[in-house]
Amino acid sequence: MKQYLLTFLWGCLLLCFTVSGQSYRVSGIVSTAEQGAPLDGVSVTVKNTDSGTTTNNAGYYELEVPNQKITLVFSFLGRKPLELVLTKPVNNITLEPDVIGLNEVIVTAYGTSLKQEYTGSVSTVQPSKLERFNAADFTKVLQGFSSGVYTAGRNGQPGEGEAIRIRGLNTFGDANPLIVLDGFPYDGNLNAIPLADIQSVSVLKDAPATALYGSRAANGVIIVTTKRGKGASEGVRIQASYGLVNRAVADYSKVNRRQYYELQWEALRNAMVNQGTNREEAGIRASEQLVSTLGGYNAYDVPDPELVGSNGAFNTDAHPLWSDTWREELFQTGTRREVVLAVGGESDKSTYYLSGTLLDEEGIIKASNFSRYSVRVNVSAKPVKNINAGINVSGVLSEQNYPESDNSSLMNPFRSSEFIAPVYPVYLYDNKGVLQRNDGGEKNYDFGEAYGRTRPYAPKLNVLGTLVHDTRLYKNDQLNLRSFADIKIGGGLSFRSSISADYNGFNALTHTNMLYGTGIDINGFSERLTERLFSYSANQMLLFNKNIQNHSLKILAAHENYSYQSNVLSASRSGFKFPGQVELDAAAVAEGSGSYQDKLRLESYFGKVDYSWKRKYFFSFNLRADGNSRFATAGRWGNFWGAGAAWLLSEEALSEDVRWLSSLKLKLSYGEQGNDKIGSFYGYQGLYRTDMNNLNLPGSLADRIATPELTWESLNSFNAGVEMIINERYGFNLDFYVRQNNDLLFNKPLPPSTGFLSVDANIARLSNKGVDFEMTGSLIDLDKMKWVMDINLSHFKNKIKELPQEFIISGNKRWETGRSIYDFYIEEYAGVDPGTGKSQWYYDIPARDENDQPIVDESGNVVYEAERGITTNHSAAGRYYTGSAIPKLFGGINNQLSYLNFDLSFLFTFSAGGKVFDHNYQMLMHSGLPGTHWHSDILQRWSPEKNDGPVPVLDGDQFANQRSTRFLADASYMSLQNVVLRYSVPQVLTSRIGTNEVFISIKADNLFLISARQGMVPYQSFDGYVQPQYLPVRTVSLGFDIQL
Amino acid sequence: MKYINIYLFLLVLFLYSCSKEYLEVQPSDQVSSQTLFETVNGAQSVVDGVLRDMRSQHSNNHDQFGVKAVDLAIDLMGEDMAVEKFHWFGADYRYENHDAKGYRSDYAWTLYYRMIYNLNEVINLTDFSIAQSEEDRRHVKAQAYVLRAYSYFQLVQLFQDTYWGNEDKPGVPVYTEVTTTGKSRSTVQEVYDQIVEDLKQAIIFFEAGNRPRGHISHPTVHVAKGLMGRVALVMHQWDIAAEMAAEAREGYSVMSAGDYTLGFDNYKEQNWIWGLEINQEQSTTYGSWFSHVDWSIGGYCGAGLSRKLFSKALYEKMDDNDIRKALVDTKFMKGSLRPDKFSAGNDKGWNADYVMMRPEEMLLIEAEALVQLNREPEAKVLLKELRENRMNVPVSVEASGDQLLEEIALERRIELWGEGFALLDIKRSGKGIDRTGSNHDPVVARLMHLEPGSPRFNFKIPQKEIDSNPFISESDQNP
Repeated sequence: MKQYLLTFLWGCLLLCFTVSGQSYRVSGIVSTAEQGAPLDGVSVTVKNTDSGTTTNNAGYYELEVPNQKITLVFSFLGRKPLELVLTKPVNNITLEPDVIGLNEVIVTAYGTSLKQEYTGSVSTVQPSKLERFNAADFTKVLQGFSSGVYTAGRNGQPGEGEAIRIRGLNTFGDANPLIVLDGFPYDGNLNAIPLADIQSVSVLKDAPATALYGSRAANGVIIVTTKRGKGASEGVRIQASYGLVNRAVADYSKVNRRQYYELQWEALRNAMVNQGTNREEAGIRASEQLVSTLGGYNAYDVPDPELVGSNGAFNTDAHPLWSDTWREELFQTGTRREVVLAVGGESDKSTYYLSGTLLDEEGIIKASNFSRYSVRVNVSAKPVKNINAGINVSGVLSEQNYPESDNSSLMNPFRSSEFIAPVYPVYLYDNKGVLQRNDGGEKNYDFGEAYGRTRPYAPKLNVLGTLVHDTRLYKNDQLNLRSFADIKIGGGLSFRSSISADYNGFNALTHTNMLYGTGIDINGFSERLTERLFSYSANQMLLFNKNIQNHSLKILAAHENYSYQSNVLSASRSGFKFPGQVELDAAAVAEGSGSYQDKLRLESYFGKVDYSWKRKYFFSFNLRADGNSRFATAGRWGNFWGAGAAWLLSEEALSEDVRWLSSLKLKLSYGEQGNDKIGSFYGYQGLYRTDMNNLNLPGSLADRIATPELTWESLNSFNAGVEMIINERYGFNLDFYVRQNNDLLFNKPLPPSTGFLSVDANIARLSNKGVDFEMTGSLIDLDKMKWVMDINLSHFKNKIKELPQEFIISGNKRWETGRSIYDFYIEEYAGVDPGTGKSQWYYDIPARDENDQPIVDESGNVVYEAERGITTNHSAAGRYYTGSAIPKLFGGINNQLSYLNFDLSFLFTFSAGGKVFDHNYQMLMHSGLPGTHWHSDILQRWSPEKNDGPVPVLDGDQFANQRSTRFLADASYMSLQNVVLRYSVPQVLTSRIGTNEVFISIKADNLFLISARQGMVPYQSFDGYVQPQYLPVRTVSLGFDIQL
Repeated sequence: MKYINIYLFLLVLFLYSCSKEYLEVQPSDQVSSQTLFETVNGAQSVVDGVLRDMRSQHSNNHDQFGVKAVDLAIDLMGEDMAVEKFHWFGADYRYENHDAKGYRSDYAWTLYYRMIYNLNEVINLTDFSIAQSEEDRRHVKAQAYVLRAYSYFQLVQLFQDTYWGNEDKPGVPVYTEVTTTGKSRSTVQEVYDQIVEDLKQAIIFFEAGNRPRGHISHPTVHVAKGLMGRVALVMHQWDIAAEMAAEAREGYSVMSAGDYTLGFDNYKEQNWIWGLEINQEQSTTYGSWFSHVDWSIGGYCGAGLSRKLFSKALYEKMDDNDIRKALVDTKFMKGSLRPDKFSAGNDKGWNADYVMMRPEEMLLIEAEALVQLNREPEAKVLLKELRENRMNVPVSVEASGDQLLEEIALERRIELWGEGFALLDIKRSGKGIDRTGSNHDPVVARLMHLEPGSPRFNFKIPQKEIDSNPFISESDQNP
C-alpha cells in the first residue's frame, strides 16, 4: 500500500514537472475600483507558488501559467487583495481600497513582510498620517497612532522632538529605542529626516521583530524607511505651507500687581512679628521696608512707604508708572514655512526618487527658531537581469537658535516669565516712571541694577535683553548614505551587500554679550563647540527563498560590522573689544579649551529562518551574536534571539463558513535581546579624568570605578496576540506582553563616604506587563461619505523585581522591590497648623519603652508608633509613597472623515491616571520670597481669621513650600493633538491646469490641552516632574499639495 | 562557469570578518589607574587633581566651589560675619543648611571624601610606580598624607563636637584604602589618631626627602607641621601645638601692616605658607569665594545681592590704631561695615588666589599653647610681635592668665577674619553664639543665640550616606 502511495506521489510530482512544460498565457488590466485609474506595480502571483509578475504603468499584466486551473492573487499596498480562480485568458480586475490593512506590507528587521503573515508585533505609521503634522520629525506623531508607544517632552523649541518609550520603562538608564534608517542604525538627528521623505515608520515591539538588532534591541526599534520612486511616490509633487506658531497652553493663574505688593507686605509684617516685634509696629515697618525688600521697585506714583498702608491695604490713589509684562514682551507669534518638491518614477530597469525640502520655523519666544534644507536622492537600477543595486543619499543643513530653556537657569525665559514678580518692568524706567531709550531711540532693558535698585529676582539679568544680544546657535550638517547591491544567484538564493555611512557635523556657538547681564564683568564670553560624528556599517547577507507546494521557506545569514567615532573640540574666550563680535579671535582672554574622541564598535553575525505551511502556520526564528567594544574582552560576545509562531485561523477550512471573518490570526513569541547603552563607551575600565589640571601642572581625578564584570542589560520578552478583521471593515489588534528586564545597569548608589556617589553595576530586574490595543473601523463607507476611526490604547504595569539593596532613593522617587520605578516617595502634607498657620507634615514617631529608650526590632530597625505624628519642621518630616507617575491608560483616537471633496481628520491623545509633581506651582506658592510671583491660590493663605485650608501663613519661611504632596497633581490629560481639513480640487479643474491632483489643507497641531491645573503641562517628562521648560506650541498652517 | 567569479567574490565577502583588535577601543580623555600610577609623575598628577578639585565649582550652584565654600559657611555660622540679604549662603548663616537633607552637610561630606578616595589611591599605589628614587615616591605620598589629614580634620570638626571631652563620641568613617562598601563611624579618638599618624608620616617623608616645592598649592613640611599645630591645639596637646606651630613658620616672617592691606588675593604679594593659586582659565567666577565676600568685584557681594558685613560687635572691640580696623569701611554705605580685607578688584579680579595657611595663624597657635603651658612671657612676646605689625603705635601686652587667652582668641577673630575658622574656634572653645547687639539683622539671620554645646553646632550625617551605607543608620545620626 505504502509503495503505491509513494509511486502515486512521485507520479504527481512528475506530472507537475511535465505539465509545467505546457503553458497558457493570461493577461489583463488592473485598475482602481472607484475611479478606474490603472494601477501600477500590482503584484500578480500564482497562489502557493513563487511565480508571478507585476503590472506596468498602464495597469497591464501578462503571465505564463502552467494550466488554467489555478488561482491568481492580486495584491497592492493600500488595496484589498483579490483572489481569482482562472476561467478565461483575459481578466480585467478592479481593486477596492483597503482602509483596514488587510494587505499591509510592513517593514521589518532586514526585510519586509506581509502583516498577515508576520509573527511579531509591529505598529506602522504611513505617510498619510505623518503628513498631517506641522512637525520637524516623526516623534510627535507616534503616540497618537501606535499602541505601546509612550512619549514625553513635547518641547516646543523648533526642531525638537519627543522622547519615546516602547512597551513600558525597560531600564533605569537610557531607555531610548534604537532608530534604524533604511536598514542601518541611524546616528544623526531625528529632525534631519523630513516627514515628506518618509515612506513608513515601523515600531518593532516584540522578540521576533527586534531580535535581529541583538544587543541594541531591548528598548524596541523604530525603522524609518524613506520613499522610493514607486507607487504613491511616483510623479511630481509640490507642497507648500505657511503657518503661525503660538503658545499651546495658558499661564498659571497668578495674583495681580496690587495683590502682590499687599501680600509681600504681609509676609514682611509677619516675619517681623515672628521675631518679636509687636504687630502694629511691624505693620508700620513693613510699609516702610516693602519697596526696599523688593529691591527698590515701586511700580506706582506714590512714595515708597505709602504704597501699602500700615493696615496692609494697597493705596487706592496710586497709579501705575509702567505696565509692560514679561509674558507679552517675551512671547511672540512665530511663523512656519515649509516647501517640499519631490519627483519619483520607475521604469523597467530603475527607480528614482528625488526630493528637496525647506523648513523655516520660528518659536514662541524671541531668538528661537529652526531652519532646514534637505535633498535626497534614492535610485536603484537593474543593469542586468540578476543584479539590482541602489543608493540612497541625503544631505541636510540645519540651523537652530536654541535659547536656554532648562529649568534651573535664570536665563530660561519660561522660568522668568513664569516666576518673576509683576513689580519688575522689562524695560528701563527711572524712578519717576519715564521710559529710558538709547541714542538710537530703542527702549533700554532693565537689568535690575539702575537708579539705586537691585532686583532680587534674576539679578543683573534681563532675559529679553540678553536673549536678543546673546547667541545660542547650533548648526548641523548631515550626510546619510545607504547603498546596496542584490545579486540573484539562482535557485532561490541571492546575495546582498550593503554599506551605510552617517556623517554629522555639529557646530555650536554660545555667546554671552558684553553689554548687558552676566557678561559685563568679563567683557563678553564665547564658546565654540564642534563635534564630528561619523559612523559606518557594512553587512553581507545571503538570502534563500523557496516555495515548494505548501511549504514556504526564507533563510537569511549575515555578517555585519559597525564603527562609530565622535570627535569633540571646544574652546572659549572672554574679553571682547566691541559689542557684536562673537568669534574667539576677537576675544582677549583664554577661558579654556579641550577636545576628546570616543569610539564604539560592534561586530555581529546573525540569521533568521521563516517557515510557513499552507499560509496557515508561520514560524520564525532569529539569532544574532554581537561583539561589543563597550565591554571587557572576556564578556564581550553575547547571543540574542527571538522566536515566533502564528496561526492564521481564517485560512482553515472550517472558517470558510464564517463569512464575516475576513481574517483571524493568533500569534505567540518569546526571545532575548540586549541593551548596551550603559552611558560609557569604556564600561569596564577604572578611569581617571585628565582635565583636572592645577594651574600648569597636569592633574587627574578618579572618574569611575573599574567594573570588569559589567555587561549589557538583557530582556526576556513574551508576547501573545490576536489580529482580527471583520467584514473587511473592522480591524482589531490585541497584544499582551510580559517583559522581564534583567541585569539592569545602573548607578548603584554608594555611601558618599567611599568617595563615589555611585558605581555602574548590572544589579536590578524590572518587569513590564502590558496590553496594546489597536482598532480600525470603517464606520461609514458610502460613495460620497466615509468615516474611518482608529483607536489605540495602551496600558502597562512597571514593577521592580530585584534591587541590590532594600531600597534606593532617587530624587523624589524610591525604588523598592514590588514598586514601579516612578513611585513618588516624598513628604506628606498635613495641612496648616490652625493656630500658627505653619505648614505641617507627617512623620513616624519612634516607639519608646518604659525607660524612654527607642525600641528596636530583631533586625535592628527602629520600631514606630502606629499613629503618625505631625510636625512643622520639614527636616523631621517622614517620606511616604504617594502615588506613581505612570499613567493607567494612554492612547489616541483618530478620525478621518471625508465627504465629497472634503477630508477632515482629527486626533485626540490622552492619558489617564498617574501623578506629576508640579514644581512650577511649588515655586509660585512660596511664603514671601522677595521677587518671585505668586499663584492666585496664595489668596487662600492662613490668617488668624481664616485658619483652615491648605495654604500656610505668609512669613518668609523658606520651608513653607518645601516638597510635599501639596504639589502633586493628577497627570491625566486630554489633548486635541491634530486637526486637518483638506479640500481636493475637482479633477475637472485640475486637469485644466495640467495637474493630476490638487489639495488645499489647513493643518493645526496642539489645539487644546485639558489638565488638572491651568498652565500645567503634565506630559513634560516620564518621571512626572513639571518644571519651567519650553512650552508646547500650537501651529496652524495653510498649505497646498499639487501632484502632477 | 560564468558565475564562478561571482561565487568566489561572495565567498570572500561573506567570510570577511574583522580582526580581533577591531573591538578594542580606548578612551581619549581618561586614563586607567594602571596607566596613571605607572609613574610617579602620574601619581603626582592625582595630587594636583585633588588640589584642583579643592577649588572647582561643582554642579551649577554658585555656592559650591570647593573647600573655600565650606570655609565660608564656617565663618557665616559664627558671629563675626553678618549677611545683609538672604541669598546664596543665607541658609548657612541661618543654620538651616546642615541637617541631614541640607546640602552644605552633603556637599562638605562628598567633597572631603572624594579627596580622600583619590589620596588613598596615591598613598597605596605610588609604591608600585616607576621613579628615579624612593624619595620621589615619598615626596608624592607625603603631600597626599597632608591632604588626607586635612580632609579628615575638617570632617571630624564639622560632624561632631570638638575633640576634648568628646573622644569617645562617634566621629566620621575612616578609610585608608579604596572600597565600595561603607564603614561605620569611627570614634573621634580614632579619627584624630589617623590624622596625627598621617601628619607624622608626612613630616618624616618630607624631612628625609627634602625635595623642593613644585607649587604654592603643594603641601610641604611646613604645611604638615602647621596642620599638626592646628590639630594639637584642638587636642589640647599644648607642647606639640607650640612646637609644631613654631616650626611651621620657620622661614616665614609675620606679614607687615602694609602687606596686610594688599587684598589677600595674590600669594605672590603676601607671605602665605599654603595657598591655592587660580588663573583665568580655571577661575570659577560667580561661583567663587571672592564673588560672595569681596565688595570690589562684581560678584554676588559686589553687586549688592549677598553682601557680607564685618560684625559691628567685633569692630567695636578693635583698637582704633589697628590697621585691620581701617580695613573696614564705614562710609561706603550708611551703617554698613564693608570689609576690605579681601579685595581683588584692583589686582587679580576673578583669578584671586585662596589663602589656606599663614604664619600669623601659626604664631597665634603657638602663643595660645604657650599660655596653656604656663609660658606666658614667651606668649606675650609673640602676641606683641603680631600687634607691632598691625598697629600704627607702639604696643604692649599686659594681660595674663585667662585674660591673655581671651586676648589671643580675640586676636584670632580679628586676624583670621574670613579665613574659615569662626565656627571651629567657637566649637573648640566651648562657647555659644550671641549675635545680638551687633549688625546681625534678625529677619535675615533668624538664629541670634545658640547655647554652648548645642547639637545644632554639628553638621548632620547626610541622608544619602544613611540611605546607602549599611553601617550607618538613622540611630547613628547626630542628635
